Parts: sequence; structure tokens; C-alpha cells
Amino acid sequence: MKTSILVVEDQSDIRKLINMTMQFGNYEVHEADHGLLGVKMAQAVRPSLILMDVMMPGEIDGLQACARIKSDPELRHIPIIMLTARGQQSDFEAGRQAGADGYLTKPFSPLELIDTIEKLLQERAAAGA
Amino acid sequence: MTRSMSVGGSTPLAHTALATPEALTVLARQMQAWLAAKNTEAPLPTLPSNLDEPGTLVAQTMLDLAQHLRSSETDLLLQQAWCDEEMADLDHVLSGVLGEKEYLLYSANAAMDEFIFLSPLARQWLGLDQPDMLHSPQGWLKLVHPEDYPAVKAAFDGAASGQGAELEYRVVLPDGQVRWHCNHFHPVREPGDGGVRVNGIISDVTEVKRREKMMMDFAFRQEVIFTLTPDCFATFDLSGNLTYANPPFEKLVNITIGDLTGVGLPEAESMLNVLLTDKSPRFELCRWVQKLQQKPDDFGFEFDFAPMLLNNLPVLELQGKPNRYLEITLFNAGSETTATVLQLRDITQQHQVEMIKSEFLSTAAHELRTPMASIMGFAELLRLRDFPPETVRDILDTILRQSRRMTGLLNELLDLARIEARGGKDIHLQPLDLAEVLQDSVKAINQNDYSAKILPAELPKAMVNADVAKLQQALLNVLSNALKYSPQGGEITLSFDFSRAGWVALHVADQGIGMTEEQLARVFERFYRADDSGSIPGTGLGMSLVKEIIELHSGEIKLHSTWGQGTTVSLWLPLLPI
Repeated sequence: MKTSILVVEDQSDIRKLINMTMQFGNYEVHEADHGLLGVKMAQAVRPSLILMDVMMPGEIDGLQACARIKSDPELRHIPIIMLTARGQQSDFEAGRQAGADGYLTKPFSPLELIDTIEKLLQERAAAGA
Repeated sequence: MTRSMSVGGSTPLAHTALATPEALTVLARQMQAWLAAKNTEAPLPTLPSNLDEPGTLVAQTMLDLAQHLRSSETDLLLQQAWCDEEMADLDHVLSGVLGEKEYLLYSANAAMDEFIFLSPLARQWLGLDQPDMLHSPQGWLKLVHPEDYPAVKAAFDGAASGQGAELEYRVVLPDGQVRWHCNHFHPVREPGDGGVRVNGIISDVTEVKRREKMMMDFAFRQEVIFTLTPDCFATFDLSGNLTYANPPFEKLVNITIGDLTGVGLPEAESMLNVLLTDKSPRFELCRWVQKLQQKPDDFGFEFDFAPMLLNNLPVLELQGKPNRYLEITLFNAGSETTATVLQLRDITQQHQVEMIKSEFLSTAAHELRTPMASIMGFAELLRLRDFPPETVRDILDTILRQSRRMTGLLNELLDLARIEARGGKDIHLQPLDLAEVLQDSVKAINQNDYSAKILPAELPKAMVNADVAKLQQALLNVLSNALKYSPQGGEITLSFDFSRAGWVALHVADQGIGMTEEQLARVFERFYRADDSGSIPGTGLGMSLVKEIIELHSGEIKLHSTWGQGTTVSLWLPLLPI
């Protein structure tokens, strides 16, 4: 069975990049192009992991979307990796406060992305077992 | 304190060698006895019982006696002295205790036109040779400073009708020196037949006056400085009560100094805390003052303020429109009334500049990293895996598109930075026809890429002083914005406006998506995009650049926009005189 990943990112090129990268492994990728849709899809899809862009236009940004998912008892176990192009210490802090489990700074290498995702999933599996 | 203790008279008291402690003891006893014999009403200072022991505070005792003589006692003695002998006695005692340069004793008739007694010191003290001046108080009037003369004259005249006085006035001595005198006199009724004479004492208060003036000048200067400084200052005494607050401080807390004086540290603390925003760090005055006082009181080898200062305190955020930022410094001044100095400095502007700079940097980094993420990510993907040719082509297209976007961003960032840093120093102004530059700009845009169309316009000549490359860059930005933000098509009209004398305006009006009021207000912000859907390409720097360029040409940019109906950009430029 494929591991499902939800990508919440406004830039279509980045979504495409992640989608193509995930083809290296046994993944199924779902996409949302804004925060609110991301929260809705998280509820609908129940993915194994979420990749969330920090700065997104629309009603809520990535941090708010992350916080909403983490405050939902049904969803809070899903690990969230924040994607950011700002990469400042304050951003990491804000991500941690919103409940994010990991951080990736743009630009990132596809191998780094897979590495981060797999590590996090293995940790979860070990903790669950 | 240095007082001349030599005596010029011939009484036993005056002959005493005053330099030794034993002699001082003798003098003190004699004075005490003399004062007691005068039987005055004021309580006499008591002499220490151990006066004879070596090393007792004889000097202090002498000083107490001198103070006694100077104040009410002298006054009483003057009022009681009747004959020349009594005045001479008093004169000797005073000269022994106070020093001969300090005072001058006199006794005159009621009309103040003849001295009955005058301190032998008068001649050297006043430096007078003129016999008429040594003859009568009225004669002295010639020495009185013209500005003070009327008051002194009136007081002297009043003596005849039994009026005493205490006057301070300036005298101009024959050698040109100006000195301040304090003249204190009493008309005294003779026992028996009731004749009147005037006893007086003059002290030289020049030094006192000089110090007074120095203090006043000093206080005035401090007052002006502490009023004009934008910094807020408040001082607290040793027990933590407010002793001073300068006007900016009053303004800050909006409480007048009268109401502030005596306010304690905890009260001052809460007074400031209510003014802060919720997210501001708290103002912990009590804790900080305690911390300051616990600092080692050791200045080391070189004098250094560091141990007395507490200045690495959090920056406070003050409620207001806009919120203000205060930097706090506490200073341990150590004096009883000024134990702690609190300084609050408004650093709002500095804070804002820092915020804008850091916000700009992080936004710029974000904007540059986003295309870079696609470029690097896709390039690495291509190396890691074999893709079908059409996918490879698609990926390369994406890389190329994102590279172009990044180049455009870098160029605009550099243009902006150059204009801001150079401040127009590399601008090459020359007479140009705005209509011509506009037509060239219209031709440079490939209108086939857009659904909207720029309507051809016959525009009159409008000569302006401009840099052709920069003006064209501004026009291209405005025209391409009009095209980009008309995704549903529509017409873009160009027109000139000469309604303002000496100016020309180019109106670029589109029928595009327009902007809301909030969007309009943010158009000139760096990286601000009215379109957040991502469907309209752009860097968010274009309008910032247009504004900078137009302002570099002493022009103005105006925007009118209605959401859903379109935007009109008006570029106003000064016309060249014909």
C-alpha cells in the first residue's frame, strides 16, 4: 500500500517538483494550493505526512493551517514538515509553536526531502510500535 | 573653611595667639562669658565640657558661636548696643570669630549723615581714602551702584523715622571693583532722653552672590537642557521616591510633576506599565533598581560608569498611533536625593528602520529562494533519474521560466537599490518629448501576449527634463501592469493632462481587475502583489521602482482604482519652460 503525502503549497512548480520527487518511492501525493484547502484535505485524506509551505496567500497561511491541524485530535498525530523560503531563526520558532515536526528550507534537494520524510515516518513507526 | 583668625584690636581677646588649640579654647570661653554677660534672650550655644582636653572640637565650637553671633544674636546685640564701647567690644568679638574681611560694624546718627562709631577696618576694607565717605553712611551712597541706589537711599532716609532694614546692593569701589554688600541696620532709642542712633553691620556677600548666580545659571541651564531633550528623565531618592521628572517624562505618562513628586518605585512602575502594549516586556523598575544597587561599587583602576549603569534592559513598546519603542537606562547616581536616575529614550524611528530592513531582507530572501527551489530541485531530479523526453523538456521549460523570473527580480532589486543608494546621482537628464518616449515604450511591449489592448493615441508634444532609460523603464512597468491586470481584456487609454500649470500628467487607464482600497494603500510596498492567486506574474517591485523613478524626476505618481472596474495611473512631471 502506498504512503500518502499531502502537499500544501501555492506554487505549482514546487508542487510539481515534490510530486515528481515522491515518485522515487512508494508514495501517493495529494495537493492543495492554499492553507484552508490543506486543512480540509487533511481531514478528508488522513495522510501519513503533510508538507506545508509557510508563506501562502489566502485566508490562512501555512503556520495557521499547521496549528489548526495540530489542534484537531483526529489529525494531530500526523507529522507536518514546514517548507519555508525565509529560513530565519524566528521562523523556526514560529513553526515549532504552531506544532510543526520538521523544517525544510527552500531550495532543498529532492534527496534531502525524501530523507527528511522517511526519517520522520520511521520515528513515528518506532514510537507507535 | 578658611577664616582669618588674626585680630587687630587691643583687648586681651584680640591679643590671644589664635593659632593653637589652647588659644582657641581660651577664646571660646571668653566669648561665651562675654555673650552671657550681655544677657541676651536667645539661648547661647553650650561649650563642650571637655573643652580643655586636647583635640576636642574647638573649631566646631567656635563656628557654633560665630553662627550664633551672625544670626539673631548679632541682631539683638546691635539693637542693644548703645555706646561706642559696646560697639567696639562687639567689633572685637566679631573680628576674632568671623575674620576681619567678613563684616563692618558701624553706628550713625538718625539722619545717617555722621558716624558715631566705625569699625577701624573700614578704611582697608572699603579701600577708601575719601574722608566724606568715612564720615557718614550718606557719603557711602556715592559708592552704591546706580541701579541699586534708589532703594538704598530710601532705606537710609527711612532710618530717621525709626525704620530698620536689611538690604543687599552692589557697590563700586574706587578701584572699579564691584562687590555685593548686605547692610543690616537698626535705629536704637537712647536710654533716658530718647535720642535715636542707628547701629548697623555690613557683610561682604560678593562670594555668596557669585555662588548663588552660578547655581541659578547652572539650574537654568539644566532646566533648559532637560526640557528640550527628547529623552525622559526621572530621579528617585534613596528610599525610592520620585524627586524629579522632566517635562518629556510628564508628557509620556501624562501626569504633571506636582502629582508625580513623591511617587514610589512600585507606583511609578505600574504607572508606566498601563501605557504598554500587551506584547511589550513589562517595566520592572523595582527589580531593576534592586539589581543596580547590588552591583559592585568598585570602579577599578580607571573610572568607568559600567558598574553604575543598567542598560541591557528590554525595549518597551508603548501604546499609541503608531506604537512607540522606549529604550531604558538606569543610573546609580548615589546621592541621597538623586539615588537612581531613570532614562527613557524614544527609539521608535530606529526600531522601525530596523524592522523594515529585516522585513525587506527576509522577504527578498524568500522571493529569491522560491524560484531557486524549482531551479535546483528540477536540475537535481534530472541528474538522479531518466525521464521521457517530453518530461525532460517540460522540466527544462520550468527551470528556464524560473531562471528568468529570478533574473528579473534581481534586476529590479538592483535598480531599486541603485536608485536609493545613489539618490539620483547617476541620472542623466535631458530635454525629451514625453509623447515620443511613450510611443517607443508602447512599441517595445509585445501586446500579443495579453488579451487587453493599448489604444493608439495622438498625443501632443510635452517636453520634460528626463533620463530616457529610466523614464522608459517606468513607463514600461506602468503599461505592462495595465496589460497584466486586465486578464479579461479591455482597452487601455493613454492621455495627457495639462490642467496644472507647468506640469503634464500621463494618465494610463485600464479596464482591468482594479484594486480595493487596502490593496491600493500597499501598492508601493516592496514585494507587495495585489494579485495573490499567483496567476499574474510579477515581482512586487515594479510600482516601487516607478515611484522612485518619477520622484527622481521631481514628479508625482497618483493612483485611482475601483475594484472590478480598473485602475488609472497618473504620472505627473514638470514641463520644461518653452
